[in-house]
Amino acid sequence: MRAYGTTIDAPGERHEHIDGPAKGLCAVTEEEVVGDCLRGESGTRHVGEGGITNLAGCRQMCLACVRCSFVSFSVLNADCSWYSLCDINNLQPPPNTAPDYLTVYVKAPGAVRPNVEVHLGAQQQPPSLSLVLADSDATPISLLLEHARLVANYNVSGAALDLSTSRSEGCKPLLSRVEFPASLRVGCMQRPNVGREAGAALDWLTQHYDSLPQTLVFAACGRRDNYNRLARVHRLLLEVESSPHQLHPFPRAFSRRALL
Amino acid sequence: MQDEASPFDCASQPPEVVSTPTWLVQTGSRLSRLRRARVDWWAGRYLLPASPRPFGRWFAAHVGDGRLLNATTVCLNGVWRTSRSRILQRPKAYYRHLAEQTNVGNLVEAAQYTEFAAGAIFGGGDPEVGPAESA
Repeated sequence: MRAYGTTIDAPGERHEHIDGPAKGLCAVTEEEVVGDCLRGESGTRHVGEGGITNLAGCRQMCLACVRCSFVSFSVLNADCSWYSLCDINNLQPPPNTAPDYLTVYVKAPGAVRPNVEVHLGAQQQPPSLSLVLADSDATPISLLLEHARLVANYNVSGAALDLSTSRSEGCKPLLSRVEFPASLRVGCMQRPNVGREAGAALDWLTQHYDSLPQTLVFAACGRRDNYNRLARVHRLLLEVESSPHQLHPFPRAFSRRALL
Repeated sequence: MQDEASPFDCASQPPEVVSTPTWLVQTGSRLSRLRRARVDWWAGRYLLPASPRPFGRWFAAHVGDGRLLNATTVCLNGVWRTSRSRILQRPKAYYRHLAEQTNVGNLVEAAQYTEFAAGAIFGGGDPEVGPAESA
């Protein structure tokens, strides 16, 4: 059972984001670090730079910065800092030297795009089946290998393992240090650590849309094999294997309805 | 295509429920049960709110119409199987647009919504040939 913090709307109820300035700042940013507006999480601009003289100018800067969502502004500290994420209900108090810090939500941040793709071996036709894993720094290599073995043991030729990874080391070091089964075709796409498994799946799909496998199995890979994911992946693969040319619904004796 | 009628499957196993003081949904429930649900925090941390909220409005804005919402069941845990023909029922721009809603940080409500709605998003857009469980 998972715990979510949720609320449920009364019909017709309106929800609006806080859009007025709030006292305080999202977080301390590094001085002189402008930040990467295409892929970064935060950055800072000096007041006076690029026409930034007041909070409105700071907001204008944010509108032109893809990843910017919030700004914290102070005249006394000559600071216009931007952030893609900020807990506006839990701002940091301003320093004594700059009590005028105000923070405001400007817009939703633009998405970060994946930037690297590596394949082991020569480029080939799309596989008949791909197991796409959402992988991160938290995923143990042993768990990756367990998934790899599942695909390697899959009896239909042309199966592949594809990693949609946010590992900081990147694809090439990962693929060179991990001993995947020799016969297995392994692909890897590095992406920022955003959007969790859903974002990993969507990024992978948009990158591979024009060369999709006939069958696609997707699985999130966390710190451990929780939610029985590995067994579920195995089951999905076995069902395809038993009818390699056409996916089929569960047989009556193994129906989802019976399980639920 | 030979896999045209193949089912989407999120391989869920009981007991899997999302439970809160205000609502509870089990895998296999209709997505429409989540129409008015919001996910404010996850694992003890606040999430960047989806736009729009709640789930039903987000679904209508980014995923599909009410028919699909009523015909599709909830997926959990990010495990599913689909096919090329199902994915190709939507243009690439559809998935790119959803990625832009989801990949704005690591603590985002839209990522939770996408997980719940995996059957509707990755299972093809036609409720008539939608997820196998939806019949």
